[in-house]
Amino acid sequence: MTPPVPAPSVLRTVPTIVLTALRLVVRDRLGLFFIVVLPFVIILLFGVGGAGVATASIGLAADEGPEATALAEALEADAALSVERYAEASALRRAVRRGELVGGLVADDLERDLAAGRSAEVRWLADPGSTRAVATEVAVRAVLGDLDARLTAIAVAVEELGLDRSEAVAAADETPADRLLGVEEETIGEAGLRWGVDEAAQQNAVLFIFITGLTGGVALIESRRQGTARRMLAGPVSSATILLGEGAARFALCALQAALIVAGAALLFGVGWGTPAVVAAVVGLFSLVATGASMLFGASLSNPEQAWAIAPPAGIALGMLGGALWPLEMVGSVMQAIGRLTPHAWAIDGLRAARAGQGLGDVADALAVLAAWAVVLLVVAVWRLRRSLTA
Amino acid sequence: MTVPSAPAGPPEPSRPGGEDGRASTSATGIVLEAEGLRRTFDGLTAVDGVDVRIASGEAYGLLGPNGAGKTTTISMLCGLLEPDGGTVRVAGHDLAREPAAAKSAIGYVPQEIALYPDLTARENLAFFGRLYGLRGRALADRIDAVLEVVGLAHRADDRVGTYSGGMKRRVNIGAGLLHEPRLVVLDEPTVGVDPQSRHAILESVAALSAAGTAILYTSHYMEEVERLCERVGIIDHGRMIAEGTRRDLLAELGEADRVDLVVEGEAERVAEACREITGVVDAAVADREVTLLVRHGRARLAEVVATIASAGATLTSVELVEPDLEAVFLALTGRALRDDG
Repeated sequence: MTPPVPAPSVLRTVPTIVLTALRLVVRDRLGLFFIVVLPFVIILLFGVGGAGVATASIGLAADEGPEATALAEALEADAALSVERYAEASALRRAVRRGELVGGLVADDLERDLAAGRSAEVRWLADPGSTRAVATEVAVRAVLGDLDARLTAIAVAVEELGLDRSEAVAAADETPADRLLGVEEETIGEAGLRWGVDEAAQQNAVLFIFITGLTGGVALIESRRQGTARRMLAGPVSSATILLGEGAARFALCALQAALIVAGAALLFGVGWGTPAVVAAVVGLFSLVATGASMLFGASLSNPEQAWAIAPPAGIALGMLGGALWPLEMVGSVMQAIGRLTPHAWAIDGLRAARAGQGLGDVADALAVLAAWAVVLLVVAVWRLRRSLTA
Repeated sequence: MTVPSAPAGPPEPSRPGGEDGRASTSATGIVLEAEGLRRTFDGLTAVDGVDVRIASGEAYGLLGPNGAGKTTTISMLCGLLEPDGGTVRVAGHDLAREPAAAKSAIGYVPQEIALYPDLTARENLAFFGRLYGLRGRALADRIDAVLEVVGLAHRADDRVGTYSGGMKRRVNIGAGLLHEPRLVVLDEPTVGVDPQSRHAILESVAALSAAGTAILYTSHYMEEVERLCERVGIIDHGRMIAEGTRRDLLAELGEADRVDLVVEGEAERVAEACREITGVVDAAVADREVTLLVRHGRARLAEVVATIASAGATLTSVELVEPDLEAVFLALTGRALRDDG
């Protein structure tokens, strides 16, 4: 008999488990489709659906005057919007109802209220069931926000500095919008599509990392059912090493999914992800969250059929709540608060910050929440999985 | 396959509570030595003070019905389950204190097909071999050797999911042999396989034993245990109720024969009636089958047949069987081995 082979070290066992898990993923053609192809199809569809290849047509019903003209010009300046003027709000309402317009703004007393130094009310009309209208509303609100800032500056100049309104307006018109905060914008391709694809890439990175994690838990269930996990435990490796290997395998899968979406979206769609360190930190921590969820899933469910029935809907539901299917800004405050309870919302915050060029210090809160989620899920998952293997 | 060092002779038969109390073999020949194994689950005692000693080159059969404590015992012997009490030493290593060294000496072959169906046989063997520290050329050579032993060298690069049940079983056994363990634990290795594969598996196990590997073999199939194992332990309700060679255990029966009956009617009523016959030691029921243990069975057959008729049942078949381990089990437990109840 040959002398006994020395027991393998953790550093050798863990890569063995990881590589085998990844090999099993590669062998599963359906799984590969979900990991490699589907995210890019969804990014493209969401990107196109969210912003539209063509610009969104909206209407504006307001009295003629300089403020209404300024509003129309500001809206037109947004590449995602094209504006049609309406004399009557009722005509605009009909056009929206017939679907001729994505939505419409009604600003009946805009000129009168602003001239009197009062707040003017602008109403947004849209079909509540239209996702395109919801996406368009975000662009409209952004334009209104810029205008509001200009009007506020004029009001302050009139009330606090005692300038004549026409002087204040002239001063505001002469002041470049980016005097204090200059933003250099570079667009690649068609702007409307660009916005949608960038947003969709971020959302789908978060969505698919998590779903891939959950479906990765199915392999753990199979490993428990087939007895391969038990067979591993019968070898000269500790349960801690096996758990580490299984965890590392799930993390590798989630991280690969993330890397694939980040690199693929950049190469295929020209998505600019922003600050690399922030993207890496957010994606890394969110992959750990997905790893914890994966292991908890794999330790808790008893058969793969159950897991396949639960994993995708659960992943999509959490994605909906957390803003991975549409921006959280589009839902009410209650749903936003609920969304903040999911790790998805914080991951998307982090990725948005990265795209805005922010650094690690700016996303410390998002990173802390993701780290807390990862720790809690991993601790519970390891405890449960250890019990399921050794009890 | 590499031939292990010459085995020590099998130990003399022993019985729990018997005169010697333990196998009389040289300390160096003992590969597995478990004493006082105990395990409870939620207050329910699954294994209660089980001792097992297996020498190098010895094949030991562990028999018992479902729920008797076999799997729990094996799990503790292989380090899959921590015992509440007792000790396990494998190849001289204490399983609790030196788990890696002790486990390295064990080749565990579970009852289920513990393989990845989407990997080939070679890839499966490579994975489990690496977990035992095998690498490079040594691993490749061992995989080739094991594939030859299990007769699957020609299908080595096909995915296990495409194999027949018997072929999967053979790879399942092969994965337990890669690291040339001193003790191979086979838990029901022939469940659901065709006769040809079953024969091949039994031949492989016999060859391993002949080459000096200690074997712990559990099965529902009494004939497999009788064919392979020099010594047998019978476990029931978590306790080792008998242990010894086949001859020793059969001697327990005295002159009793086994009579297997298949009846149409109420089998329980038939068994009850048969128990009243003089010379019937025990009777067990499994579906329509009634197994009797009868002293001088041939002489009592006519009375048995008449009793069945008087119990309102019809006899479909009757067979007088030479005393075997099944009869021993029935005598000791009052149950047939395959009676899950």
